[in-house]
Parts: sequence; structure tokens; C-alpha cells
Amino acid sequence: MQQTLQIRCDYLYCICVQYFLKQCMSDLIDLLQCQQLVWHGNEQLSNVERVSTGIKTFDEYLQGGLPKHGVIDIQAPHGIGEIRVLLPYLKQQERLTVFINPPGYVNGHGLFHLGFDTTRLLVVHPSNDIDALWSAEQCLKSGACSSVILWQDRLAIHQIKRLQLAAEQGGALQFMMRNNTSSHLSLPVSLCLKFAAHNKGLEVSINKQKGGWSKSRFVLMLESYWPELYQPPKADKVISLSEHRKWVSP
Amino acid sequence: MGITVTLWIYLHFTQLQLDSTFCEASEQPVVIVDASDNRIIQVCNKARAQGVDVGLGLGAAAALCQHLQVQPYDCMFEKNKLKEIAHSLYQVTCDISLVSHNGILLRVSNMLNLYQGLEAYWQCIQAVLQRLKVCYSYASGYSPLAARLLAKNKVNLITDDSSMLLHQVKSHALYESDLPSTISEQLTRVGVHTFEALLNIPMAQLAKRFDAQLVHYVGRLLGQFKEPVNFYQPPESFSRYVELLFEAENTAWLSKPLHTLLHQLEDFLLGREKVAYQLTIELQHRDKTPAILHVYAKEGEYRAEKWLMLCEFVFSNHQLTAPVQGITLSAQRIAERQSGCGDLFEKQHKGGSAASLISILQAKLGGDAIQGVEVYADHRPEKASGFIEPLCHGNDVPREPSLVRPTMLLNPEPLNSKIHIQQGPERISTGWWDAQPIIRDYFVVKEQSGRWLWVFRDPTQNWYIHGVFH
Repeated sequence: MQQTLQIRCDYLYCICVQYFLKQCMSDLIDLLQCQQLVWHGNEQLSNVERVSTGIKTFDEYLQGGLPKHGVIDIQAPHGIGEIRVLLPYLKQQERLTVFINPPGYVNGHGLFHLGFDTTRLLVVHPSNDIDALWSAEQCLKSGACSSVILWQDRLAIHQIKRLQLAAEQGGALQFMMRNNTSSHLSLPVSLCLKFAAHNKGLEVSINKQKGGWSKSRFVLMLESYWPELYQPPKADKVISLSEHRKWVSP
Repeated sequence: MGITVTLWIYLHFTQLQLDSTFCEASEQPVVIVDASDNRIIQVCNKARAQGVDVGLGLGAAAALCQHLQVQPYDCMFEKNKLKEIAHSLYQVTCDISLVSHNGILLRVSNMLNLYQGLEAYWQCIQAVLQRLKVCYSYASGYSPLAARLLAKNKVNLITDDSSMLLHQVKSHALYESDLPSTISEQLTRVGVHTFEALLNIPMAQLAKRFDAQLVHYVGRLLGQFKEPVNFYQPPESFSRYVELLFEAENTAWLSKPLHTLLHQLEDFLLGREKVAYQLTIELQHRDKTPAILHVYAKEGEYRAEKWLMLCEFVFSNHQLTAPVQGITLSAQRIAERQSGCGDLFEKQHKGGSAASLISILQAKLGGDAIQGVEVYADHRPEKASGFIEPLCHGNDVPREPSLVRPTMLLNPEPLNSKIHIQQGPERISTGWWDAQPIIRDYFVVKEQSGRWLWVFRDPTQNWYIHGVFH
């Protein structure tokens, strides 16, 4: 008897609360927000320390930039500009940048003339995947490297977790360059980006971002960051004499 | 006795060869046998527990204990070990003298000012010896001979009380000393059995009744005659050997004995404010030529733990061809330690340095797996950049931001896919001076898939892919 009464009381109380909420919903939410008892999920971004990518629009889409340390998963076919987009960030760094298992001979010449300091570049060629992960971990936690770029397709969750810890320990960023991502396993990374080729730059989709909501997809224009490369092909190489004179003596 | 009399300590190492052959790990009881008369001269604890003792014949010992492991006595080995002990002691005391193959004589008097007393000094010496894990007996005395006599008879007394020391000497019989047997026999015949009786005879009487050798001995024993002592001078190079009593077939088993050697290296380097850049580890096999491994530390290192880590990485890459019997460790390049003056807070943030990271990577992956990148002033793409030892850069090339060059180069491979030319041609025609000329027209092209490639056309109108713009 007493129990049913109790339940009824609760029920009544609920109705009262609902009614009350309807009456002064906005006031209450304001009050609760003020006391930090209620919060919005998308307001938590400020917790994650971010570092600029060096590309303004990219920073805006990423709500401030790349995480300061952690693991970033980049899914992209090789050769569409996936390193180019990171170069402005890599150029800012003062500690070592390590390339592990790059798909070719790293051309210091190209990186150098783009403004990259090649004295801070290390290239590591381990003989197998396990050694590659091991060297990435060592580089990350040594504190001597600011970014480690590893080309490896197959990764496991526990490996990513280890790298994540190492990256936090050494204050470094780990980039995972993955060409074909056959498994749809969600890896515990700080940021997961997917790049696709585009005429004027890259088509980027943010698959996952720690401390962020956005699942956006956008086109990143890279023309202004390397105009020499993106310079449109001249349709006709013949120019008029007057135009030529204008070029020679402006 | 005046102030001029010096105090000595004698350390007598009773089983030096046994202690230094790393027999802790051995399951079987071990004895060391004098090959000349087959008598046991050193016995490990396991053997002693089974009743085997010093002085026993080999046959009797074998009868007492079935699985006895027998090692021949090696005098040279003990002498080398003694030098190593002297070397470790040199870190805490200065006047050290090696006596035959198993004794070390320390001149104490000079060191007492530094340590403020005999007690503190002796504690330091004991701490060093304890780390070396050797068995020894000891005694102090006001002459080298007296200290040696007491130490050999296991008196184990450290004091600067001269009357007490004299009393101790007197209580010993003559046959316990290292007096020549002819003299001690001669003395016994006239009824002098102990040192007490001998020392009661006045010097003048002694000189009259016995020969000069005995007078000389007594004078040296009482510290009245000066005894010539050669003091030990430590060498400036480091090379140590440890013999394994078991045959190690797995490199993982080598790290324990190696660690003890590395600790000695640490002491050696630390005392001199130095670091080593390269270690050579020689693994001795039974019938094969020893395997030689090199371990490098880029920025120089003295700590045993760090060296051990690097050595373990090198071991993990090494395939043993035969079981290992002994390890020799030598330090190759030793130089002054340079302490970097970083600020206190910066250090925490930065952690390790690039050089130590590279040493770790090279130890595990091999020296060629880690490379730095250098840029050269050349127009030929293959020669414009190259791989070098990490962190050694010297070239200074001006930057030309207008150059369009790929991030990665490939070995030129024929171009077969359909492409769309973005830029070009850029003709590179150079290299006449070193007989590797090239004439190529380079294009930046885009594949259907979106890949940015760097392709060239040679004079025979063949097209090749040479690079990728990642």
C-alpha cells in the first residue's frame, strides 16, 4: 500500500517537473548551464590543444588545427597531394621529422626548395612492419621528434594505442599514411582524415575528430600554397610580339 | 712508534678465479684444481656443502661429489682479475700495490685525511669489493709484511691500535708465515715456534745467531726497514673479459654477464669524466673464430643501463653460430664528457636528444636503415639529393622556390597510363663533366586517378615516370 503510494508520488512529481520545465524551460537551462550542470557536446572543443596546419581554411574546418600530439590516420591514395597538404605544418616544426617506410626515395631536393629544412629530416627503412612500428614508437617517445610519418596499411587497435601513448609522452604527432583501408575498423586515433584527388587541391573528409562533432566533407584549395605546381597549362605557347614586348620590358 | 710509521691494509683473495667465472648461474658444484698436483685449491659453496674442501685430491673430491665441474687453475687469469680489482679500488684509494697473484696491498695513512678516519675508509673499500662479488680476507698492519701475515691467516681485523696488531702478530706460529722453510725449520730446532718467541730475541742477538735474511725479515715485519713497493698505475683503456661457466646458446642469456662488465665500464668512465662512443663485444666460441659486434652511441654514453639497452638491440639482430663461452668488452672511442647546458625546465619537455634516438634505432635496425637527407647543387635529379649519415650536414645550397620537384623519386619506369600534362617541358641537359650526361624533358602530369607524377621524355622519345608529388 505504502509502495504504490510512493510510486504514485514519484509519478506526480515527474508530471510536476515536466510541467515546470515546459513553463520555464529556457530559464532553467540558462541557470543549469550557468552552474555547469548541463553542457552541450559540441562545446567541449577547447579541451583539446591544437596546432595550426598552416593552411587557414583547413584550420577552420578542423576547428583550430591538428591535435598537438596524438595519432592521425590519413587515408589517401599515394601521390594526390597528401604530403603537400602537411608541408606547411611540417615546415613550422623545430624538432626532427621522421619518414618511416616511404614509398620511394625521399627527394630532399624537392622538399628543400619548398622551404623544408632537410637537416631535420630522418628517413628510416625498417625491414618489416613490426620494426616499423617499433621505430615509430621510439621516435615518438624520445621527445626529439615533432612528427613521424609512417606508411603502413595494416594496423591494429593495440598498436595505435601504444603509439598514442608514446606520442603523448614525447609531445609528438604520428601520421599514418594508409593507401587502401580494407577493414572498416574504427581505430582509436585523434583524427581520421580521408583525402581524395581534386583538380584544385584535395577533397577532404573528416571521418573522426577527438573532441569534435563535425563529419564534414570539403574541398581544400591548394593552388595558392604552391602556385608553381598548380599553374594552369598554357593552351597556346605562341604569343603575339606586342605581348612579348610587354613581358620583356614592363 | 712515531708518526712516520705508515698503516697498511692487505687484502687476500682466496678464490679469485672461482669468483670471477660467473659460477652463480651454474647448477653444478665447481672446483678449481691445481693442474700440477691435482689438489683442489678453490671450492664453490655448492661443492663445500657436499664435503669437498680445499687441499683435497681430485679423486677424493670426485668420490664425494658426483657431478663436480672441474676447472684448471690459471695464474694469468687471476693476475688479470687482480688488476681489474685494483682498478675498481683506484676509484676510492690511491696507493695500491699488487702482490703476487692474489693479494692487494693498500697504503692507508695517506688516505685517512680524506676519509676522516680508518672506519670510513674501510667502509668505502668494502663497498667496492662487495660490488665485485669476490671473497677475501683482510687485515691491517704497520708493515706490509705484518698485514699480509694477518690477512693470509684470516684475522679480518682493521684497526690502527699498534699494540693490538703486534699482539696479533705474536700469536701466530712461524709456519703460518711465508718465511722460507729452511729458516723456520732452523728456528723451530732452537725452540722458537711462534712470532712471540722470535720477537722477544733482541735484534743484536738475532744478527749474531742467525743469518741476515732473518734479520731483514724481522725488520720488515716490524716496519723498521723500509720495504720497496710498486704502486699500481691504472691504464687509460678499457677492456674486460668474463668467462661463462655455462655455454650460452641464446643471446638473451648474455645480458646478465654483460651487465656486470658494463657496470665496470661505467665506473671506469665516471671516474674520468669520460664517455665512450663505441663498444666492441667479442663473443668467444669453442672452436670457431669469435664473433665481433660493435655497438655505437652517437652522443657518447657512460651509463651501464643505456649501454645494455643498445647491446640488447644489437644482440637481438645477431644470430649465434655456436654457443658462447666468454665475453670480452672493450671501449673503442673514449672522449671527454660534454655536458650540454640546457635549462632545467626545457629538459623535461624535450626529453632525449636526436643523437641518442639515432643510436637506439641504429642498434636495432642496423646502421644503414636510418638516413639523413642532403641536398647538393646539381641539376640532375638523381644527384641533387642523397642519403647521408643522420645529423651530419655540411652543404649550403640556396633555395629556389620556383623549382617544381617531386617529394619522392622512383627508379625510372616506363609510362603506360593515360595522362594529362600540367606543366612542361623543362629540359635538363647537363652532366657532361663526369661522363654521366642526361638529356631529358621533364613534365608534371596528372593521371586519371588523380596522381601527380613527374615524367620525362628521353631523346629516343620514350616516356618514363621518375617521381611522385605526394
